[in-house]
This record gives sequence, C-alpha cells and structure tokens, in this order.
Amino acid sequence: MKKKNFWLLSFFAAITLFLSACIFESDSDGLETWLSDRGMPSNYPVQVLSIENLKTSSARVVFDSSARSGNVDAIVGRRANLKHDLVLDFAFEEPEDTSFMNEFKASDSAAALLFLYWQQEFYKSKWIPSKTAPFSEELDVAVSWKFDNSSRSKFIDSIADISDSAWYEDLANWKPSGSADTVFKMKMKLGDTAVHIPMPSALIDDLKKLKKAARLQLRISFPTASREYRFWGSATDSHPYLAIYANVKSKVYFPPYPFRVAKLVKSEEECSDCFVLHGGGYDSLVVEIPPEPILDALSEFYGDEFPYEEKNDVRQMVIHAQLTMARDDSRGENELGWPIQVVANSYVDSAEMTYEDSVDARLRQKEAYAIFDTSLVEKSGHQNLVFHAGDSLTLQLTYGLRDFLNRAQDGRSMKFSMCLGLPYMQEKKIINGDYRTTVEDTLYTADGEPFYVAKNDTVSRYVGYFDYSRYDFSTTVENPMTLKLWLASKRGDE
Amino acid sequence: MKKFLLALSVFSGYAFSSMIGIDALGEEQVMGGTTSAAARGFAGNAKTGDAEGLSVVNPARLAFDAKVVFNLNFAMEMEDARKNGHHYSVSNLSMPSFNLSFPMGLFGAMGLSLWQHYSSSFNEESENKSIGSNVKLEYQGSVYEIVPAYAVRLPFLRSFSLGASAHVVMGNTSRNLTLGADASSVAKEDTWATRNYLVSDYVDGTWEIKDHPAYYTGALQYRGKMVSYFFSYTTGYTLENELEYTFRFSELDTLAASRSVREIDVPAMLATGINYRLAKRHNIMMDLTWRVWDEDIENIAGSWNMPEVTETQTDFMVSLGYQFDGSPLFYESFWNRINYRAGAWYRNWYVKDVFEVGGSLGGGFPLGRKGTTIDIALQGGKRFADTKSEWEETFIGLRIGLTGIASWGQTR
Repeated sequence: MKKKNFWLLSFFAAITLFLSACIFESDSDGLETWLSDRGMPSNYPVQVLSIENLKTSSARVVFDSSARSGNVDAIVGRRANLKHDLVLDFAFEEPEDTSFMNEFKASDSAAALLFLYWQQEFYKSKWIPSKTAPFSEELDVAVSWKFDNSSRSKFIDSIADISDSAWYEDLANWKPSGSADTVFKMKMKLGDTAVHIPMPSALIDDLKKLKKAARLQLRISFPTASREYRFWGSATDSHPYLAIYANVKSKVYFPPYPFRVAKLVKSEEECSDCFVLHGGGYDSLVVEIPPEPILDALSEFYGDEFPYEEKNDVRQMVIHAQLTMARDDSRGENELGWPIQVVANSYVDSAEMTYEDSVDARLRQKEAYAIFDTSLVEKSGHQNLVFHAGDSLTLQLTYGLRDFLNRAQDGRSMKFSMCLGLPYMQEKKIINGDYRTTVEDTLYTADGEPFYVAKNDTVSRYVGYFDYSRYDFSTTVENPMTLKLWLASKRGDE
Repeated sequence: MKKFLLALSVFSGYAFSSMIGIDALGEEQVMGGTTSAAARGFAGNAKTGDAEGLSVVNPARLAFDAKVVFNLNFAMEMEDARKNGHHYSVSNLSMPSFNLSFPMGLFGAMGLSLWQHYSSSFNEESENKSIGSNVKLEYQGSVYEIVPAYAVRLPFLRSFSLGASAHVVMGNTSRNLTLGADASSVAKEDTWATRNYLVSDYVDGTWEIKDHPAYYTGALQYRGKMVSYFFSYTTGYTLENELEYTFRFSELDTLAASRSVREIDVPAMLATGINYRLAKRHNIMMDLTWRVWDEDIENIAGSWNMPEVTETQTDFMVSLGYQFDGSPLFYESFWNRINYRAGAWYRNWYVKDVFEVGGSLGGGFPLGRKGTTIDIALQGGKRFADTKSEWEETFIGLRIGLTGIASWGQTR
C-alpha cells in the first residue's frame, strides 16, 4: 500500500472514530430516562408500615416427646415441670477370660455401678452462676431395663443393624423386663468428675444369666429430682459405663459401656391449655393471626386492593418484618439467671420445595436474627429475649411475612411458631466477643473443648447450654400485637 | 442434541438487537441476516447464480445453485437512542445465521439454516447517587429457527423452480431487572432495617410454536436471461413463550414463581423480489416483504408501570440493491474478482409507529483460488419512533460473512 493511501485511510479512520465517539455517547442519566419512559424504575422505594392491635386467632403449644440423642448431652433429672430420663443401650459379649464371669455368676456380693461423668465444663464455667454447684440431694432413682440374652456372638451384629431413629421410635413404647426403685444421694462438689449409682440386685441377677452376648437397655429416672443433672453421653471421651464387680470390695470389674444414649423428655405441666414453653424442651408455641387486619391495613396504605389480582406484585417483597408482643417475666422461672432468646420459625412454602411427594408441604423456616437496631440494643437490650428488663418481646418474622403476603390470596393466616433458645449473656451488646480476661486461664467451648487464654485476651461470652426453664406466654398471646413492615414498594404513576 | 443445545446457548449469548420492541420479540433479523444480502440493502433474494446460497425468504432460488455453499455471518452494531435531548448508546455483537446449501443436480437442492430470527439483548447498569438510581437491566432472548429447505426446477419449465422450507422454532428469553433500595422516605429511626437489598424482577422462558412442529415457506422462482423474480408465502403461526416470573433477593431466596404462557400470533408473510441484469455483471434488484399484524404483542412481563403490550402495525420492508459481480476467473486481478454491493431500505417495524431507513455498502472478497469469500457490509441508518416508550435510534453496523464454496458431488 502506498504511503499516501495509508495516511489517507488513517485520516478517515480517525475522523470516523471521532464522529462515532461523539454520536455514540451516553448521558449521565440516559439509562434512567430510558427506563422511566418504558415504565421501569431505577430503584425501589422502601416504605414502613405499622399495623397495631393484631389479635391471635389461635395459639397452641406443640410438645414433641420423641426420644432424642443423648450421645453428647446426657441430661437426667427434673426441673421447671420438665423431666428427662436417660436410656443407655449396651451391647456386650462375655469376656474371653471366663473366670471373671464365672466368679461374678457365683458371687453373693456381686455389684454393678453406673458411672456417669459430670459436664464439668458447665459446672466450672465462669459464666454459670455459683448456685448451680455444689449440691447434694437425696434422690429416688427408678431403674428399669430390658435384658436380651443370646448364646451367639452374632447377636451383637443384629443390634448394630437397629438404626438410632428406629430405636428412638421403639422407646416410645417402653416395656421393661425388669425394674426397681432405689434411693441415692446425689452429691457434687467442684472438682468431682463422676458419680456412680448402684444398680439394683434384680438387674445383677439378670446379668448373671449372661450366655455369650447380651443387649441391655437401661433406663434411669429421677422422679423427685429438683434439678436437671448434666452428664456426658456415649459419644464423648467421658462416656458412661456400667462397672460389673464380682465382689463389691474388689477393684476388678467388667466395664460394658453404652454405644448410644437417648433422652426421653416429658412435660409435667398440668394445664393443658396454657401457653408454657420450656428451655431445653422440644416444644413450640404455634400462633396464627388472621389475614384480614394485615391485608386491610396494606390496602389502606397503598390506596388500592391488596393483594393485587395479578400474581406478581413487588409490594409482596418484605424487606424486614417484626412483631412486637406483650411479655410478663413473672410467669416464668429459669435456673441460670441469664436472659433467654426466643427463637422464631415461620411457615414458608413459597420455595415450592417438595416434601414426601407433596408440593404443598408447609415448611418451617427459622427466622434469621442478623440485623437489629443497634442504638436500641445498647440502650434497652435485644428485644427478642425473655427474663430481661422491659415488658415486650419483638420477633423478626421477615421470611414468614414475605411468604404470607406472597400467598395471601389463598386466604391463609399469618402463622409462626416460637420456642425458647439458648441463654444470652450480653443483652446490651451487639457482638458476643468483648470479654477481656484478667488472668491466664483454661476455658471451655460449648462442646467441652478446653482452650488456653492469656491475660487480656478477648474471648466470646457464649453459653452453649440450655437453661432448663419454663415460661408462660399467656400474656403474649392474649394481648394485642403490633406488626411493623419494611416494604419494597411499587412506584406510583409518574 | 446436548452439544447442539450447548452451541445454541453459546450463540444466544451473542445476540444483538435494537432497544426497540425489547419487551415484545426484540429486533427481527430480516432476510436471514446474511452479510451479502445486508450489503445490498437486504435486496437480492431473486438473484440467482452458481453459489448464491440459501435464502430463508425464497427457498426456490436454491434450485439454480450449482455449488455447495457454507455461510457463517457475524454482526456488530452500535446504536445511539435519543429522545427529548437525552441519549443512550449501546453496542452489540451477534451471529445472526449460518447456512448450508447442497445442490443435487436433477434431484434439486437441499439447504439448512440456523437463523436467529428475533433477538433481544441488553446488559447495562447504572448507579447514580445524585438521582438515587441503582439499577441493572439485562435482556437476553433469541427466537432461533432451524430451517431445512428443498428446491427443484420444474421438469419442462426449467426456468422455474419451486421451493419449500420448514421453520422449526426454539430458543429462550429472559429479563432481569435488579434494583437497589431508595430509603429516602423512611424515618431515621427505622433506617436500620432497610438492609440495602438488591431486588431482582426476573422472568425467563422458552420459545416454541403452538400446536405445530414448524411454520412453512413456499416459493416460486423464475430465472430469465436478464430478469429474475420470485414470489413466496410464509404461513402464519403462533409463538408460545412459556415464562416463569418471580421476584428474588437471590437465586435461593425468591417469592413464589408465577408461570404463564404468552402467545404471539405472527401473521403470514408475502414476499416478492426482482433482479435485473443491466449489463454483463451489473445487477439491480428490489425486494418487498409484507406482513399484517392483527394483534398486539403481550410483553415479556408487566410489573412496575410497564405497558402490558407492545402495539403492532403492518410490517413491511422495501429494499433496493445493486451488485457488481466479480469475475469468477481466479487469474483476474483481485479488484476485478470482488463483488461490489450497495443498497438501501425502508422498513416498517412490527412495533407501532416505528420505521427504519438505512443504507449499506459492502463487498465479497475472494480468498485464494478455492472459492472462499469474506463478505463485508457496512450499514447505517435511523429508526424513527413516535411512541411514548420507544426512543429513536441511530445505528451503524458492520457485518462479516465467511462463505465457503465447493463443487462436492458435481461432475464436469
């Protein structure tokens, strides 16, 4: 290409680029104006609506008495009208050295002691009030058991095939092969590691019938206890075991230990229509609020019918929702003295997840408590607590309200549930990490792991243990509630 | 099939379109979107030759081809939309079609095209604190057609040919409008819960034809010594767009989706064209397409204050073109072997009160001796809009086509 042509082409290319740059340039608000002309917004306005005097249409307590795993937390005792029994599942073979068992079977002074190890990390915790330990209590002990004996070693394998869930289900119909009531003095002082409870002679007689292999399901109950006793379960290093002695004065024993432990929980509340929840119990209070007051308030707020006939309406996008209720702490009792969080769950089916082949399953979604009014928290504490200053309880129900408004056309009620969660140690702090140690020390995590801290370290103040408490929510459900909504609002005609 | 669908999804990422009609069908890639036709102002569907290739408007032309033609097209376009002193520019890249034609002598000719008939493509965002905007808007839609065609010359009237093609429709479409919060009207003590979520108004769906596997085109072509012309008729059909529409905070946190089907009645189309050979290698040509839209088109989703429908009008296009055929002799000079093309068009869009005028220049540049050609078309024009929601657009575009010509199956 000739040099002259090259410069000519370059000149035209430069002119073309310059003109293109001039023509194809956007205004700073060009996109927004184009969107506006097409009826599209360039942001969504947030509006706040408060709906007062909401009354419940129904409220009921659901208590789940299914057996639960005690493999870590082996809780037994009775407190705040809640009773925990333990069932320990042993499977063991006769020792290879048969002389011990022969001696045991022939002995008139044979004994069996159930060793249970204290959750020392709880009793020694810096955050736990001193009134929880030491203690001493005369206890009635109800022991019952099922003893299955076999002359075949493979019997053990057949037990291993029984799943935990099947076992828990089976425990609901507990029919023991033997039982006995005894008395035991439960004592604990700081530094004690374990307690050993003598087993009744009827059980020892059954153990003497051991052939080759056996399964022992041992249920322990303290029907008159005044507190819940916290022991470690079978999946921990400090697992329980049954020490079988041929001679009660001997130091030689055969130690079967349970391969799993279950907790059986029972509510001893006498009032069937009360609204009592228990800390550490598997119960929840299910509350329904009729839809009309909420939808009427929204219709009035927007000035037209709500929800729209059309299925998709951005006004269903609830950014944040909270429900404020009355509270009366005098109608409750707790052990540890800390405020307790109330955990909210909503019934959510917008996700259209399937459950047992049903697309209409009502799913529960745990509500997040991840955002809060920090100035209010610093002044008055978190608002989702009971056993603290004030007379109101505020739960965040964003998922639930979002789902409710999304599906309100089908006439459903606004439904949620609440239960008592873990104690909360710093009710006026927005984070859990501002305890400064004054000395070097060994602390323990919620699952019992020790860790060393130096002087002036900052550590989290966190209680990973339930407070076995009770709280009567009658005041809450019988008084009007206030719902506050932060809504992504549709832009009006502009 | 999986590979094909994957390829299709990749192609659909390269969709260009005007901002006009973006909620309806998007922009129509007229005349199959081939670069050679675009360089002639989209005229020349009546022009016959040894290797003109497949025309989706006039499948009968294929019968006069003597060589196998493979043709792949790319398009780039810059648009500047204006209204009342405001303007906004976008640029796009797309692959509107690829075509394959295979003459079989006395047995006629077969062809296959993958054509991006309608496309909507837009991906822009803006955060402007002075006016409180925080918005991202994405459209991605393509109505693809796989077009098998067959044409044959009549046994005794060898100057005439008949052709037919079926248009199998597929594709997908989506719109995602993501918005930030405007908490300016929230009382100070309540601002802690406004959260600054990004909320997406999201709709997506797939395209197919209702009740039929395809729609069809039938054509008659005449090839004379000086004059060639064609007539074609394309059946009407109903496009079905199955949509799932939801508002979402994230892909896992959404409101319940509503499902709907929008049906778009695309009317039958008449097309005709003529090519006149002025002198040995000079051709002038004119094409006309005509389609009467009876019903408005339901928009992809009508939340916020968006209109529910896009109003339609009679959609027609008149195009005029010129082509100087390059010499087929490989030993001629390079400049003599180039096909020189020019054209202009007037087009009434299917969107009410929108029309377009444009012009183009281009050429077909031979590469080596073996029949490979690079087609280039430079286009420019303006789309006029006299509606509330559409803006006028000035556009310039560059199209590049790669054409391979071979004599497979042909005997001397």
